[in-house]
Amino acid sequence: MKTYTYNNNVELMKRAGKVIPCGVYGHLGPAEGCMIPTSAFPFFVSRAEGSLMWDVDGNRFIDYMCGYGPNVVGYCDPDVDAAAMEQMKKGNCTTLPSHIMVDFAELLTKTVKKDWAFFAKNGGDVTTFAIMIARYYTGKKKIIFVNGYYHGVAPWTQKPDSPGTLDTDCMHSLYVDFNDIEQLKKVIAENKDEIACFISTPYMHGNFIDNVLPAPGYWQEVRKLCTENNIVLICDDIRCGFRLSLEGSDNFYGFEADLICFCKAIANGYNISALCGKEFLKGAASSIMYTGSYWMSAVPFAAGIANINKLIANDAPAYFRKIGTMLTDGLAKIAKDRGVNLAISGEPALFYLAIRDDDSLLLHQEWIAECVKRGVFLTNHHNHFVNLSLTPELVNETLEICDEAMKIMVKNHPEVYR
Amino acid sequence: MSARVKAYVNLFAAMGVLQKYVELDEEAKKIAKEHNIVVRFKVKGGPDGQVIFKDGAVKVIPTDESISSDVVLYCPTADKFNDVVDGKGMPIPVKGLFKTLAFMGKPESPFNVLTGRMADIMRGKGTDTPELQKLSTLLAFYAMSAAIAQIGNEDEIGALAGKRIPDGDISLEIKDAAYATITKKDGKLTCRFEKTANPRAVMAFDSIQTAGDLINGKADAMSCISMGQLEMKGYIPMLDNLNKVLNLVPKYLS
Repeated sequence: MKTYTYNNNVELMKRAGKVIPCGVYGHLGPAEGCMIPTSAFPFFVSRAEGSLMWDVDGNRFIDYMCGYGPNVVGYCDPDVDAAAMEQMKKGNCTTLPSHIMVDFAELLTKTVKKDWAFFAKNGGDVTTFAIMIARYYTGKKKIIFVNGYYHGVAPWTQKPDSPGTLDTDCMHSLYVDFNDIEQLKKVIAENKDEIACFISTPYMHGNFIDNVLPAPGYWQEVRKLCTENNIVLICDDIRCGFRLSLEGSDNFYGFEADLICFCKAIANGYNISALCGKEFLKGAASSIMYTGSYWMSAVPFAAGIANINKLIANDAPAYFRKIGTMLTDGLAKIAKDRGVNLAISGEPALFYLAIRDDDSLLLHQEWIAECVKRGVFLTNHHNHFVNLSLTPELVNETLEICDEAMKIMVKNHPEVYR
Repeated sequence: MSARVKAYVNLFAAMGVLQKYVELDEEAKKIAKEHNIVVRFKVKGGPDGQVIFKDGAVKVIPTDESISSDVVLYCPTADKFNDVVDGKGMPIPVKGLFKTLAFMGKPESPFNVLTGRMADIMRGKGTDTPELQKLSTLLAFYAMSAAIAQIGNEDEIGALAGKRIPDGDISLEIKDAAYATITKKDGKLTCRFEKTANPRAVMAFDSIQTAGDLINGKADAMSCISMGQLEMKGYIPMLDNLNKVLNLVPKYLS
């Protein structure tokens, strides 16, 4: 099987490095630990369609990152793009919001079973707003986080040793482990009448660790504790939203969040995020001045409407589970046949992979690198994503490449795989 | 900046690099060979360490009571010790007065010549040949590595990241030129100037030039990774937290 080279990517990265901090900053860039070694990965895309993307060297990839989540019905989806283009002709960022904002809010609230929707641009916009609402409504300051969390990059989400963060930004942060109800009870008891909110993803899909699903009864107990202690329960559904269930991942796991944050899969890549909430918090949301220049742009609303309707029409979460399971079952078989301890965790729609035959993850990084160089775009230590355009044929092609990549990795390590 | 933490960095990182200096520089090795002596620095509320000169090699270690010190120097505060390191003060000899005077009593005394030259080279003073420039970068690399361990243990903010570094060895490398290993064990970070056989994570500069640019603040780590000049691999949470400590190094190791 031919392996890829990246001459144009490297040249472009050199140009980028001169005019853009880090060349490519943030989670799409190679510096965040998900593209190891960097020499195995492309840096820039030239075009994308469905589940495929082509880099600036013309290399074709089956893409399991999906833009880190937004690609949910397929890149350049004709239905979503047509709706967006049609709205573009009528106006986008206008003095008054387009009437379709109301259409989208109605569709969204009905879909995710909440009473209101507030729109912004990125996930961090709405997690931050959720915290502000919780603090304003309760008159309390402290936030309970779940260890291993990610809720964006605003200072309140960071640790005091993060560059650009002050220790005072984190002075109201409390931490518990996922699925640990006793610890949560203890933290609540120790901070009686001081906790504004509990914020968590629906399951633990942190990076570098096997993902953890909620234990039976966990969320129901969290809900009870929050209600009893006047703590706003915030579900950060930015990564999982619309992939596990169209009704929101709180409903999927059998509890009701007070506030739920959506972004990524809400509009198939058009830039919009949403905070949805229960009626009793609408007044607080109304009272806080929180806005942005592009938050009411109409094109993403149009894209969002088309996207959600398409997800509903295709019963997308069921398909994600089916195609994700086909892929992960195939990977599990390959690993078993080659004697590799491959841990597959999380939900099939957002599966997480880790080879557990060493404690350094170096074997895993080598395998992923060999996959990428042959046209399957996976990253080292992040959950992956499937989308509606992913076909069984593409999954079979993926499995063939992953098998060859694993064969090479195993061959290179006789000290581990005798 | 904490004077106490700076004292730890001065003793175990800045002075600790004497080990590599006498290995890498012939003149330094010659001076070191002439002295077999153990000097203990005892700083009230701060570090307590021994600088061991033996058979032309130098080691700086936390005080081991089983090793007898020829000279014991006391500093009543961390600030006073930092002044000593900056050449602005003298410690109080509580053992080995005459040896103290002979070894470090005057600017031309062997210890002061060694540390003075080393500091000049690390600061790039008079490094007008490629060899000296290379030596300057290598010493700075070792000092940086040793400082990470001290800051990750002792600095209030650095210790937050230090505590989050999982157990194991982190290999810091300048490819084919220099190796240091940071080990996290029993809640503490230690540094040794050698390659580890079993790294759990690796941070490797592709060249002395890249390492020098990063240490001198001409380049940043994230950009170096993007450009393929700095390779990070292995258990990334170790490096993620180590980088947070690394960000604090210039504050202490100026």
